[in-house]
Amino acid sequence: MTNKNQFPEIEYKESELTNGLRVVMCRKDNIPMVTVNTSFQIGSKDEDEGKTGLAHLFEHLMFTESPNVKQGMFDEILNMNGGDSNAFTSWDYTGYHITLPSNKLELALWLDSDRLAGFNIGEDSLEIQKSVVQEENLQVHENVPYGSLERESSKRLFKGNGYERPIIGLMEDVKKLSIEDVKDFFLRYYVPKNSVLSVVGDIDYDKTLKLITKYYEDIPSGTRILQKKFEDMKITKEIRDNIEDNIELPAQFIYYKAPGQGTKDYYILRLLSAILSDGESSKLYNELLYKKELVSEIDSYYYGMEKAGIFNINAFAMKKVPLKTIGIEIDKIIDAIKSGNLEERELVKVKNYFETSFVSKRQSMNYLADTFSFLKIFFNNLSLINTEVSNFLSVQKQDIIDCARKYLNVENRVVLNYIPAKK
Amino acid sequence: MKDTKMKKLDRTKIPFCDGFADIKFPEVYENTLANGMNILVLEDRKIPIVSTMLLFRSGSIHDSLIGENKSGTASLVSELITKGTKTRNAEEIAEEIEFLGADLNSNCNFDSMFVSAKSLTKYFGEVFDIVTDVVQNPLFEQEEMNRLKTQRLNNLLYYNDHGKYLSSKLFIKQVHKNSPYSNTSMGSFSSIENLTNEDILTFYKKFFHSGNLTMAFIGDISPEVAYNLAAAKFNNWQPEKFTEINVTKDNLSKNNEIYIVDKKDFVQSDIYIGHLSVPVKNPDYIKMLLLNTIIGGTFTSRLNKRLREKSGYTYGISSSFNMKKYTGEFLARTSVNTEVTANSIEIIIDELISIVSTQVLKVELDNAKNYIKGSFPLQMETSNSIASSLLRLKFYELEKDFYNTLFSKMEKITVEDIHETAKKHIHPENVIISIAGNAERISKSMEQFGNVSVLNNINF
Repeated sequence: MTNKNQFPEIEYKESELTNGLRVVMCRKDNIPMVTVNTSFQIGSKDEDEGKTGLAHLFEHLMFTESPNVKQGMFDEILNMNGGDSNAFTSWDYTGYHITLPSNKLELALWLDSDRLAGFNIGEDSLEIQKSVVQEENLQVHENVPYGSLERESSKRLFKGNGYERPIIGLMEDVKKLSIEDVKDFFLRYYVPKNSVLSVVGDIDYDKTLKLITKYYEDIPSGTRILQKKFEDMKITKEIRDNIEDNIELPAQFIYYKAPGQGTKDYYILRLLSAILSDGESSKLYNELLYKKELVSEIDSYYYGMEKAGIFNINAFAMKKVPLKTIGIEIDKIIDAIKSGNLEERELVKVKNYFETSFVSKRQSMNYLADTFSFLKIFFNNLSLINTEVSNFLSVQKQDIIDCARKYLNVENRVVLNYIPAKK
Repeated sequence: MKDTKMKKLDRTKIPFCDGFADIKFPEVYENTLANGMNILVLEDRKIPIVSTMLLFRSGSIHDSLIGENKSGTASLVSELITKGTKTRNAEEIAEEIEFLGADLNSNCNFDSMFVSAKSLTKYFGEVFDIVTDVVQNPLFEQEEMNRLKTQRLNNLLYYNDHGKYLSSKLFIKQVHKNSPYSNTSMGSFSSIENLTNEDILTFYKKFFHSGNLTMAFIGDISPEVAYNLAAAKFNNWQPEKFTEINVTKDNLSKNNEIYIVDKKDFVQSDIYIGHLSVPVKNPDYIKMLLLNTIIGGTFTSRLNKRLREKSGYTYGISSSFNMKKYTGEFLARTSVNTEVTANSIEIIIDELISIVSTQVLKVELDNAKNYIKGSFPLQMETSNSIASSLLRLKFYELEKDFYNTLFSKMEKITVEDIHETAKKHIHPENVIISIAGNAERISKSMEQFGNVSVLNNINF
């Protein structure tokens, strides 16, 4: 059951500059705009002890100043040309994108390459952005209900390796970061050898490659950093904790350890998660939210990271429903799948949904550019942009059952019960 | 390949890139059925997906027509219509839609209600059948109603822990006081308790008819096919008399008013600051768009530059004119550290005063124009974004060629015009400041800005 030719293929070209910068170009001309995505294989898990938060802090610093772009001018120049920028940091990599009118592509390449061509971040900018990051941490984690979840779950799931802390880093580390730390990090990771440039939009391939060569080829290549040795802990006995928070509704968060990206199980677990909680007819939603009215919200996610994975279920209790009851019902559903209680139709249903969203997502330049960079960095295989969907469509019912049996086990999980703090 | 020594590029000069492409908003097919229903079709064959969007001219402001303390009606109607018809129960609707790999959504805002669906072309016929069924034959069963009410009460509890929700709700309430715009569409604990099945049915009967409906199709479908589909399914619908709502004119507050909803455990203050403004259909619309871009519409706006990039007080601040059908608000929103709450508000008010007292620079205005010109095409990137732009035009009765003439109209706007617009539409001395935060630590320092009221909860 392959998907070839059923949907319009995305065309692309790839290239590599002499300094090792890997380049992907994709022509997509429905609107006169272009997205430039530069991604670096450096994420929060790769940071050194005591220097956490650097990967994410860069997401801020890279917009402050560079040798030929004065403080604050990066976005100023971009905005006045109808462009916008953004960035994100994951456990495994950091991505930057600029979106602007396609006739101004050269401007984006000039801005983006200048910040790689030389280091010019000042103390001022560093101090301001450290303060912005602390406010970001308050806004995203500390000052919102259930906001400590990422921190609390990571430290139990990944004790002893880089996944054990939140992506944003530990604030006590961030406060201490110096300009030397920043420069050292820049020279190590923000180099062509460690990065991929994807350009998607209303472009001409030849002209674009010429421009990319012009702006990037003279940047010293650097070296691709060898990944640190990665060791993961095993959970052999369920870890279960209560955490008090300033909340009205208790909630239960369950995390099973799972394999990472690039494995066959990666595709199976994504589908399993969809069977459990995508849409109102999914198993968990239908049973716990609709039929039994135990929860006001229920979701499951599978995160396949570079070296490890998490299969996660989040359940927000209805007022006065004990978390214990909810836990028992969730386990019942998982146990039923493990004992083979899964209809062919349920699998076909989620595959159909994956097909629709596969086609639909590809309307967005940003999505395509991010995906190209990701595929190049971690799989060195761009054809997945068109073929990956068949990895989902070829999953069989028995695969799902096997994966549930293999990973969704009590002794392989962390359960966090968030309960209202006594006032 | 030639073996040449790499020459270092001279990076000191900004590359020159010329102007902006004109907007050519895609051609739209427009027609009306005999029963008054509007049909819009935008054919785009690039991907095998069809979306449809049904827009009803009725939203949560119409809750007030149902009776006292009935806020949340429109929103519950929008949820309940997918929870059972004469021939399909709630589970069957979800199952059928999801089996086709499709999306079916319904929701409402202050002014209107949407039912939308999206699927691969090959399944669209079946999906449209279900869409038709849910809007034409909903049952509104008591059991589903009870379930949703319990659900909603729990959602309200959940949101009550969220500072941004609280400050936004409080802001809207204080800006619009007693107008139908003062209640959020979610409703309150007491209004949700108070809602009955009859209310839901009354609302449905009043507003779900052909005279109140615009239907858009976007994507892999021809105008003929779309028109015939709509005609076949909706010809039997009849128009009812449209109930126009009477929105009493609110006034600006006489002085600054500060409202704090006390959250003792908060380490940041979630702030909304602003005042009453005007509806979408007003002669200054485009000028206001430019004005806001300068104040707080982009990353390099005056507010974000000062509060984030210069002071490091926040992760971000933005402002907007939230223009609605019959009224609107101007507001800036941000979250800042408790300690710098007063400093931040001082900066925000200072920026508002400055935009009213002094002309913006020509370069600022040019940049704002360019920003809008350059980023506009993103509104035409996906079928969903095109559909929203299209229906927005229709719903707010903007000129048909609004998008295609936007750039040329913008060109004519001068710094003097922007100054006049600021004087007319920004009122630094009549702001409502609404904060979710630690009252004990901030209320004293708020007194310099105006009269301070501290609330322990906001269960309205």
